[in-house]
Amino acid sequence: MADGSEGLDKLDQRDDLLVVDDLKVHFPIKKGLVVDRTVGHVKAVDGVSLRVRRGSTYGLVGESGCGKSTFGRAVLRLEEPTGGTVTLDGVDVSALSGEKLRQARRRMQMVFQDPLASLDPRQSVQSLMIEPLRVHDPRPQAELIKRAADMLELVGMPRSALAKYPHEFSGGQRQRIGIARAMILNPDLVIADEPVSALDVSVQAQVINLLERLQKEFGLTYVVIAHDLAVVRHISDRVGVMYLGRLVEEADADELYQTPLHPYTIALMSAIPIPDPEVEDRRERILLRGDLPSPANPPSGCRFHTRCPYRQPTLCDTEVPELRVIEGHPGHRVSCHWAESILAGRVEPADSLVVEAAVAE
Amino acid sequence: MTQTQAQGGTAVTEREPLLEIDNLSVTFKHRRSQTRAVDGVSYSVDPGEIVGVVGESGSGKSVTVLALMGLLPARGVEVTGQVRYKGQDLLSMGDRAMAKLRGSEIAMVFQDPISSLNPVVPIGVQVAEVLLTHTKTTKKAAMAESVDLLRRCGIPDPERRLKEYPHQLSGGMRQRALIAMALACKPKLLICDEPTTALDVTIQAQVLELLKELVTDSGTAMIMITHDLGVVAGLCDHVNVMYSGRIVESAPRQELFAHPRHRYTHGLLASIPRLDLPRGEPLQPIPGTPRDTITWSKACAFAPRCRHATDECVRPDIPLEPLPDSPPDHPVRCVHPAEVTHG
Repeated sequence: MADGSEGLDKLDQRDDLLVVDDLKVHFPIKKGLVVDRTVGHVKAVDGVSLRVRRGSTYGLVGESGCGKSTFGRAVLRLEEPTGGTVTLDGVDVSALSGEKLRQARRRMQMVFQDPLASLDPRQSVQSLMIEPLRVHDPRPQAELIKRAADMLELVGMPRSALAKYPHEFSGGQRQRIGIARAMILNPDLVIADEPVSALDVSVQAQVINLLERLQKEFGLTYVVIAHDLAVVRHISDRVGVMYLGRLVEEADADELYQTPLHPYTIALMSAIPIPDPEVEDRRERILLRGDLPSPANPPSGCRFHTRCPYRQPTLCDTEVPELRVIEGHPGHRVSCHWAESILAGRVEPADSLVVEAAVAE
Repeated sequence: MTQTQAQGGTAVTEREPLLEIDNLSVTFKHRRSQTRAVDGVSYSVDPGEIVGVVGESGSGKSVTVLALMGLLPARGVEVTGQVRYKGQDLLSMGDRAMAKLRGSEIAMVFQDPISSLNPVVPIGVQVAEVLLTHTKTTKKAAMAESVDLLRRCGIPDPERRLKEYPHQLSGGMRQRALIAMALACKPKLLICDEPTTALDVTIQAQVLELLKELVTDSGTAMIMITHDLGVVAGLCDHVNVMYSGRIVESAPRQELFAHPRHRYTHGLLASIPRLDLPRGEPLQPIPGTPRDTITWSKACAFAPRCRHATDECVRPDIPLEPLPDSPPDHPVRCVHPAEVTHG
């Protein structure tokens, strides 16, 4: 294994369904009308390694532009990776092509954010549901339709929905159809990219519970990509935090939320509003300055140093921090030079960026 | 408050409110069909007060403020009721008088800054335009003040940014520019319609902090429209919860979050995962979708989704009123309200 994942190798030879090693997706920036010159690269995903245990849920969080969606698409080879490997159940998916790739795809499916955009408006639900089966399942049409109807019932939709079109449903129902469609091939791995963020608040919980129920029933493995930390924490066993194309921190869900070590994770968690005035008034908030830098020209050293409230005069802007396991916290990987000092309270955020609690205790 | 309150207002204060929305209804007419988006909404905003309006898509929270700002099309829309700003009725006001008020006394920040800004005019000119329209000032002075405004709204290097076009700014910067425009004439009332929904959480935290600061410093009153109960919890003094065109519950924020009484508010709070609570508890979703609704004139609109609904819920116009065991400033529109939880 390449850099970053040694710590995990030692843990145990676990039953990992998905192993991603040093995955890179670089998009070329082209210039020129006649001759296409490549003048640089947007490094959307720049060396991400992670492992997902069979039957578990891996949550990937980060803000827009951090490369989390590109990562998901690259794992499924919807985007061609520039480098690195993706191994599904021992098979190197990134090296497959043709018929072998087609067969591997049956085992990994995707649930998209906006079901209205991902479902063809001119196809009936029946046609939409059967489409993946027609590609992968040689059984006669009648049996496929029965399977589609069963699948719909499983996600809590009536069989009569088969004859309808996507626009006839509400957002939550459409997302159920999207999920049923992803599940119909009995996949092992489901990558859900922002599965609830387009839904009304009162409907989100239904879809989250549905995903959890299906996982229990079929032993599915999930990679859930989302920006909502509260949702990710709720459904994930392990959580990775991405920033500008890199994994900056990774730990089991409870550990990460109890002991966030990377300054970005700390700031991200302090920024989430909590629906409780008592908590809100007592919280200290760490604000980040500025916006996300351009992934075409990422900052030197630690990519987060331009916005980091804990930035130190040395190392941060010169040395790229490695994703390493922190002593005393098995399975908790952080890429920050100062993680131990932050944990021990020796390094504190700049005062100007801390918003004090409204009510002093 | 001299007017009789047909639907039961939220204001019980002795002070003269800055804005009073009184029994406001908005009906969209299309051919022979009618959609009542806002159905007899009343609430008021005191000077310097931050009022939150929470609801899902289609609850009428945005249409309410669009109606009072006179921003709905005249054709096919029927607006009834009264909106009094400092005592004068906004709905019967002429277009020109309204245009004068808009931007100077009452300003608005929208959800999507890219569609609210003019794409072919530099940011600085757009901010200065507000000043030139509403105040007697020279172009030069207006530009100088724009620099100051942008700086106060946390835009670094405002002299350079002034000359840039909206597409050159990031989402957070655009929203700051929009806030700068809204605050240019020191409005008495700032209406924010989902101002941070399109932004990332860390940027959302910056913008909310900025709004809080600006409003406290200048004593501007604010209406904060959002679907995010978390945003409301940290910001608002008083919260109105809307469902299907009506206010279903209204209370000071501490009271609302400590004792949510309406089954919708209660269910909503139980259905969202929280970052600060132990995990592992399954979420308690509200069944159905916001589309599964009945008109209020027949029954409680939330009844089709409510686990506690009974035949008693099927009666017209359930009133919004304080419950026997709730404080007078906490009216609820519910036949079977949730118990008051202690602790």
